[in-house]
This record gives sequence, structure tokens and C-alpha cells, in this order.
Amino acid sequence: MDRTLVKNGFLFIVLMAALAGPFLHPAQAVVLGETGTTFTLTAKEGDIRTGDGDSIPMWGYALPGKDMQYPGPTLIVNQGDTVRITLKNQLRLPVSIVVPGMSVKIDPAPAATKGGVPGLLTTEVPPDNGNSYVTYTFTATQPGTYTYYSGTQPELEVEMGLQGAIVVRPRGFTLDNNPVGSRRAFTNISTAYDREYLMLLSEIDVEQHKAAGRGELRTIDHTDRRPVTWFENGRTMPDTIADPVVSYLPNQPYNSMPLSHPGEKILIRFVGAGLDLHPLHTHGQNHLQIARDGRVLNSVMNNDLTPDLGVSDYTTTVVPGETVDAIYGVWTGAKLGWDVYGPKEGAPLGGFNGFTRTLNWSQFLPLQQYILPHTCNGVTVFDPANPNNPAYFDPVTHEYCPDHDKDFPLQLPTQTELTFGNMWGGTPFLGVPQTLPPVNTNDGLFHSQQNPQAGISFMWHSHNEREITTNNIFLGGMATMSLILPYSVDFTKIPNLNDPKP
Amino acid sequence: MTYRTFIKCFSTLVLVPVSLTVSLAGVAIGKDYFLKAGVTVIPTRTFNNPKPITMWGFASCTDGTFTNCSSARVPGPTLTVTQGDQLRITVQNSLNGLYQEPVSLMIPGLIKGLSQPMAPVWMIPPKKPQGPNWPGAPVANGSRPTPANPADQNDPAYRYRVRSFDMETAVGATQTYVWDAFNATTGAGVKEGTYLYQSGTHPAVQVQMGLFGPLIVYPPTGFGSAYAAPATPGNPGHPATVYNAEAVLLYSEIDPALHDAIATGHYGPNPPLLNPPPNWMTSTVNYTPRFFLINGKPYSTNSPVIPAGSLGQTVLLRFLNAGLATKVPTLQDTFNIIQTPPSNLPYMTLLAEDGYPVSWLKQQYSLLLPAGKTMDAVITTTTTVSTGATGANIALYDRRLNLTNSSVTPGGQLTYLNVGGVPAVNVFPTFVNFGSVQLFRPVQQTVTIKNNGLSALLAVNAAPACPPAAPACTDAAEFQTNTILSTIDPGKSAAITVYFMPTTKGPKNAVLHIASSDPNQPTIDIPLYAVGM
Repeated sequence: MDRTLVKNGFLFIVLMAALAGPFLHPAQAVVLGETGTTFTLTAKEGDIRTGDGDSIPMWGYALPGKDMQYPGPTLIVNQGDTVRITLKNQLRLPVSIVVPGMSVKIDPAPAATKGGVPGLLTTEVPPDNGNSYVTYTFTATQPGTYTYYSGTQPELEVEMGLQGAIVVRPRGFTLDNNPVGSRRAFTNISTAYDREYLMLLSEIDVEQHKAAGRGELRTIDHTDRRPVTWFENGRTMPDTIADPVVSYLPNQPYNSMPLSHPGEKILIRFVGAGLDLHPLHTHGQNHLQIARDGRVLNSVMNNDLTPDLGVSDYTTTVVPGETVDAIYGVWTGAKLGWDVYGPKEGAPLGGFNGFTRTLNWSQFLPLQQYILPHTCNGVTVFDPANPNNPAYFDPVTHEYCPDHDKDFPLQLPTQTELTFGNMWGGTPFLGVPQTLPPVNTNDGLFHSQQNPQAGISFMWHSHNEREITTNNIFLGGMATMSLILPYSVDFTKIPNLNDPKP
Repeated sequence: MTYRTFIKCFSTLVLVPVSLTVSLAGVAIGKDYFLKAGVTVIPTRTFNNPKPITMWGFASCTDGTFTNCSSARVPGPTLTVTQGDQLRITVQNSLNGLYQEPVSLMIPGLIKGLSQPMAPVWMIPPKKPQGPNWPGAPVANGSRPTPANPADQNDPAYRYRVRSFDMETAVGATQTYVWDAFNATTGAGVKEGTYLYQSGTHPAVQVQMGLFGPLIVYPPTGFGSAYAAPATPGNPGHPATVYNAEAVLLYSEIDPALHDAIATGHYGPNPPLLNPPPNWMTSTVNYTPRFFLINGKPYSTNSPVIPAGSLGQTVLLRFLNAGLATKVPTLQDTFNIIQTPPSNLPYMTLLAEDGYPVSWLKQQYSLLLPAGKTMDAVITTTTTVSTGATGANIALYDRRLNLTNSSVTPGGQLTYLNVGGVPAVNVFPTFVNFGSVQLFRPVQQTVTIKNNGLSALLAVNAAPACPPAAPACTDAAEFQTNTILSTIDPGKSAAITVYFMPTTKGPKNAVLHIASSDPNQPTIDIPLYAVGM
């Protein structure tokens, strides 16, 4: 844990606050997508919105009766399933689906495939307004993260948006994590996690899309391609941290905002969906790469064993067409040097208007839901084998007990030195209000403008910094915020979180 | 010295006839190649190029006279050598045209050794404006020149820059570059693995122009195992790298702008002050490739497939990136024939990077191939699929999706690995008569083996043997061949030199026994006849 990161993150967040004000609500903690074994997709034209206010012509895979979406629907299946994807085509040129790493077959039955045409990489669906269809089938032999995309003129069609992710759940997986540890990436218990997020990375050359939107495909020269806008899960910052499925982003249902509690493991499913490589960097904590292309990084290439060749890193190079599964965390705030759950009773609070105050916890009763006991009550029960070891964690809150009750070492800035927004209240603390900004609500207490979940945010973004732009506008593009929330925040009560796990 | 010495000069005919140490007087065991750097032009519209593209390539020549050469080609010929041999590559610089440069030859990843250490060439950088264009003025070969006055920061020696990583071969000149036999103690010399050879002179221009090619170094055990090195911790080593067939996949690109500037003599840091030509290039910094090639060709509907063995075999894929852009070769197994254990899915098993076996094997359906890198991977196919005589094609495409020739699709870095197409062996002549030969006077004749089939002819072996009618003969010992063959691609030929040297008088009868993977003619016996006098 590097304090500099927190500091930088702090500044970023403050900067973001003004941008992110309207996009208050956090996202799902489970990868959104379509479950089942049989899917019907239709390739359609459409458009997406980018953070610069632009509307970009796109082609994408659509669910039945719906518009195209970018990226295509995330298909969530179970290990051992026989998966069937039936593809129809409403574009003006042929289209197809390839799934690298899978033994894909074409179901020749008349009910499954009609009018398919052999292409260079696979059987294609001709452009006939949805009359023809091709059913691609494969057995999801191994769990992991995979990708699908068009194998027809892919330098154009993948660029235009015909791309998506596939998640294969391992045998024994349960979404409600019952028994504990059954929410896992692969069959081995060492791949268990608490939260999972998709991190599908792509980029577009806006001019090519505009040309395609005008029907001027002949003017597009792939070798002139120059991407200017970068995406996570089909959205640019700050839309990445907006809710999933919002009305103003009708064709971009997936957001990209990892949420977690301290001490939790986040499974990141990296997918390289575009044409370029992207170094995706997670502030706050390293992540352990456990698999690539759906294969556990195991020394005897056994997908059921531990990722003993796993690599811990803070940046993963996401390669086009490849996937990486990585487990982020656990973040606990250890060794930051102050009590991240708030100062102790009587601690001096930041001054404003010439007043100096001390902390009186009883003042915060109206916000009890956000206040943690944070007593490091694990001291007597935790690590009995080594009772003298001071570096223990509270078993419930994952508080780093050596820093318990340590005051924040610096004077906090005053309100006139900061910009405030809904995402960030200026506090370096988890789950407690602080003196910045001061009074702003009817109760007159020192708490308002705290972000509603009282978390600490870390930016997850492309370390190719020019990629955190949206068509030349900074801050945008391939960036998001990972929000770490205190245990007092019940994820089941957050709208759209879609995660039953407490 | 017996003819068996020549056997040690192991050579595998992969793509081109190779040159051998054919000296009966005997030389140090090793392998000689003769490469002529020259100009070759890709005609207009070969792959949608609106103008001819002038390339610099290497031609393979039979010997040091450089009189019998193929045409210059990009990539250069596939060179093969066996660990344990010295490698000697003699380069003749036959570049011509309006812009020429000295060239050299280097092999990233191999240490040349004591016989001929690398000797960089230093120069005074051209001055702007109106200094000389490349090559400037060479000042020294070998070590960096020592400043006359080390304390004087203005000493000109401090300004010297390397312009060639090894000694140069000037236009019109000939030079031999030597890599020692592998020395396990020092690590120097010709080490097993897959390598790029390329010009080490002004590589920013010369590699783009096409002066590169693949080098395969077989382990001492020869064809059939990519690496014989003992296992390192966690590395299954030798057993994991066993294969039945191999394919070379060399990736490169072309930015026509540079080739146009070179062809018109419009390259260099100092364009004319008056009326500079519009196509003048002062550097390659604005690299914008338009054509994307595998083994020198972009995809087209009539591209030949790349032979990759028969069904049920393990195929070694030797990936090399001589281009400047990162590649992501990705498998698309439409026939579902790849069943690489243990997953039995279309994955490659990654064996090595840059000629070094990996410590731990990994399986991926694609791999990251940055510029200048080589990677070895194997795939294993199943026998449970019926593919017919044409075999099954596995698509291999760049996931960076450089799949066009400029604006025209399809094209670019897409190719097909053909598995299971039937090879067909054809031999000429079918009878070899050496006539009357004086005792201990060696003579030679050539037999050509051609593959008229659809997939690679594998495990080709040709050796003198006794006629089936006289299995206990002694005559066969007086015939020898100098070449051990392994693979002949479809449409390609390999020449075998058969030597005869009588030790006793009288008629001699033997056969040249040719074994191969041709299912219809697994063995062929060519009668050999001579009379010792």
C-alpha cells in the first residue's frame, strides 16, 4: 500500500467529483449478462454515446427484440454446458461468431442453420434482414473468461463493435456463495473470490465509424486506423461509473465500477476485445493473475489445481482476443498510518470559520448506518498462535489493528481548497463522516456531502495515459473508479448492485 | 576422413537447397551458407500495391563464387544448422540502384564466439544541414574509439555512433560471418532454437527493406525435438518439445513509403534544399505499414496453405516477427482437429521464447509476438476426423486484425495450416549409373526428390542400402549421401548428392533407399550402379 497512490487517488477523485456528480449510484458486483445455454443474437446497426457527448454509429450483437449493444451480451454459462448461439443478421454485409479456445461446430439441422455461407474463419450469416441464421455450438469444457467476436472481415466488424465476453462458471459454483468458497473462478478453492467484475477493453477510430454510418465503407482503409476513444465494458469515463442499464445509454448496458468491502477479493475478468493492447492498472492494490485464455496458470497445466504460476502485478497487459482472470486485493488500508475507520473520540477535527472542534461520536447518531464500531475487537481472538503479533486484522471489518485509533497525520484541507461532488466527500476515512465539508444539511452536523456509501475510491485505468481520454477530452476513456466501502454498507440494499452476497 | 564426415554436416531441406561443406579434403565441421543481398521488386498489384515495391532481400547461393544463386527474396532463405556445428554465412552485397548501403549479418540471441567476435562500426554522425546522407564517414571497426583526451568533452570520439552492429560488407564486397559451435560452458555459439537473422547495419532501414530471414538450429538430436536441453526446474524439457512436423511462420510488414524513397534515392537526413522531392524520407519514424505478410506473402484466395503434418501428429510452429508491430497469432480451428492435451481443445502449448525453452509450459489459443521475437509452440491434432485427400485447414490470423492489403479485404496476416493433406513423392532420375570410376577417385551424381502432393513430405530419409535381392551386399558401403532430409513442402524439391568412391575393382550394385511419409510410396529404391577400375 502506497500512500502516494491514495494521495493521487484523492486528487483524482476530487477532480472527478465535479464530473461525476449525477452518476451517483454504484454498480453490480456480479458480472451482468445472459445466463442459460441457448442464446439468439442478431447483428444490428445502432449507435452509442461517448463521454464527449458524441453519438457513434456502431454494429453490435443484439438480444431478441432489443437493439444492438456494445459490447455484445455477456454470455454466462456453466462448465459442461453445451452452448448454442444462433446468429441472425440485419447488417448489410455477412457476419459470424468465432469463439477462440472453443471447439465450435455448426449445427446443420434445418431448424438451427439456414442459409449459412462458408467464410474464411467460420460459417457466416449472409445479409438478408434476419432470414438466414447459423447456430454455433460448443461445449464449455473448462471454466474461465472467454471472448466472442465476428470472424467476418473482423478488422472492420470487430472495430464496429461485434464483440463480447463469455463467462464459464466452474462446477460447484454458487452465486450466493453457499457454502462459503463456492463463488470461485475455477474449480480450485484457491480461485475463490467475493466480487467479480468484467473489464472488457476496446477502442475505436471515430472517423471509421462515422464513415460506416454514412454507408461509405469503401472509404475505410484499415491501415489508416487511428483510435481516439477508449472503452471499458463499452463505456467511457465517466459513464463507466454510472449505473448499469440507464436510459441515457440505451445501447451500453454494462458499467464498470468495481465495488468491494475491505478484505474482499475481487475477480477481474479482463477481455481484450479491440485491436490494440492495453495496460490496465489497478490503483490501491496488486492483482494476482490466475489464468490466461481460460487456463489456470498452473505448473502442470491442470485447470483444477492452484494457480501456482500466478503473477502479482498492478498492471495487466490485456492482449487483443485474449483474456486474463485476476484476483484483486485484499485491500484493508493496512499501514496507511491512520485509522481509516475514523478518528477516536475527542480527536481534533479540522477547523473552519475559525472554530476548532473535537470529535463527539454521539453527534453522528443520525448516520448510524455508516458508522462502524471499528473496535478492532479481533484482538483477543485473532491469530491465537501468535498473540503478540501486532499486525492483525479485525476478522469482521478487516481493520488493520495496529493503526486503530491513530489520527490522520495531516491537517485536512479546508473546504475552500476542495471541489466537492457526490462521489467524494473529501474524507480519507471509511464509513464515517468527517469535517469536510462542514454543515450542509438540516441536522447541522459535520457529515454531509460524504458520498452516500462513505467509501474510498481507487482509479482503475489504462496506464497508457492517452487512453484515458474520449476523443481528445481528458478525463475520459478507459478509466473507472473502484470503490471500497465499509462493512456497514449492506450491498444488498444498493440499487442495481445485483449481488446477494452480504 | 570418410564420407561420414559429411553426414555430420547435418542439413535439413526445409525450403531451399542448402550449401554444404562439400570438400573431400575435409574442413572443420560446420555449415556454410552463401547469401547475396540484392534488390528485388514486387510488381504492381501483386497484393494491391499501386506501385512496384522495391525490396532488399537475400538470395541463396550454392557456393562462394556467388554464380549460382536464387533470386533475392523476402524473407531470406530458411537456414538450418545443428547445434554442435559452426555456422558460417558468407554475404555478398549486391545492392544496386539509386540508394545503397553496406550491409551485415547478425543473429539476435546468438553469441558469435571467439573465432570472430562482433566488430561494430563507428561513425561520425552526419551533420545537418547539408552534411552527407547515410552512411556518413566510418571511423573505426571493433571497439569504441578511445578519445584522444578523455577529459575533453568536445573530443570527437565522444560523438561516435554505432552504425553497424558487426563488420560491414560494402557494396560489391563479400564477407564471411562466423558463429562458433555451441560451447555449453560459455553459452556462446550456435544454440538450439528459432532465430531471426537480419542485417545489423542501419537496421531501421535495412530490416524494413527486407534483409531478414529465419534460422532454425536443431538440437544435436536433430529434427523431431525442438529442444534437447536438460530440463530446468519445472521444465519438462526434451519430451515436451517432441514433434513430428514443423512449420515456419515469419511475420513482417511493408510501408511502401520507405521503399519508394529508397528506390528513388530519396532517403537521408538532408533532403535537397531546393525542390525537395515529395517522397523524400529523413527517417522511418512515421512508419505506417500497408501490407502485412506471413512468410513474405499476404493472404489471398490462391495463397498456398502451409503444410503442418498429418492427422494425429504434433506440429511445431516456429513464430518469428521480423516486422515492427506487435502480432497476436490466433488459431481458428474450423475443422476442430486440434486436440492438444490435456485439454483437447484448440490451444497451443508454448515451448520457448527467443530460443530459450520456457521454465513452465503454458497453453493459449493465441500468443503475443512482439517485434523481433521468436516463439515456439506445438499443436496436436486428432485422428478421429476424416478430412479427405485435401486435409483440414486451421486458420491462423493476427488478432491485431491486420487482415487487409491496404484498404482491400481479405488479405494481410491470415494463413492456413494444412493438416492431413496427402503428400506425394516423386524421384528423378530413377536409376543412377556412375559408369567406370578409378579406385579411390570420388564421383558424385544428384537425385532430386519432389513433393507433388498437398502436404509436407515428412521424415524424408535417403541413404544407400543393399538391393532387396542381395541384402548382405558389401557394395553399399562405397556409396554415400551427404544430406539428411526431413521435410519437403508441397511443390518443393530437394537435391541429394550421391557419392561413389570404389575401394575395390568390379561392378557395384546398391540402391538409394528413400523413405518418407508418402502413404502410397513409403519407400522407394533407386538402383545405383558403378564399376570400380
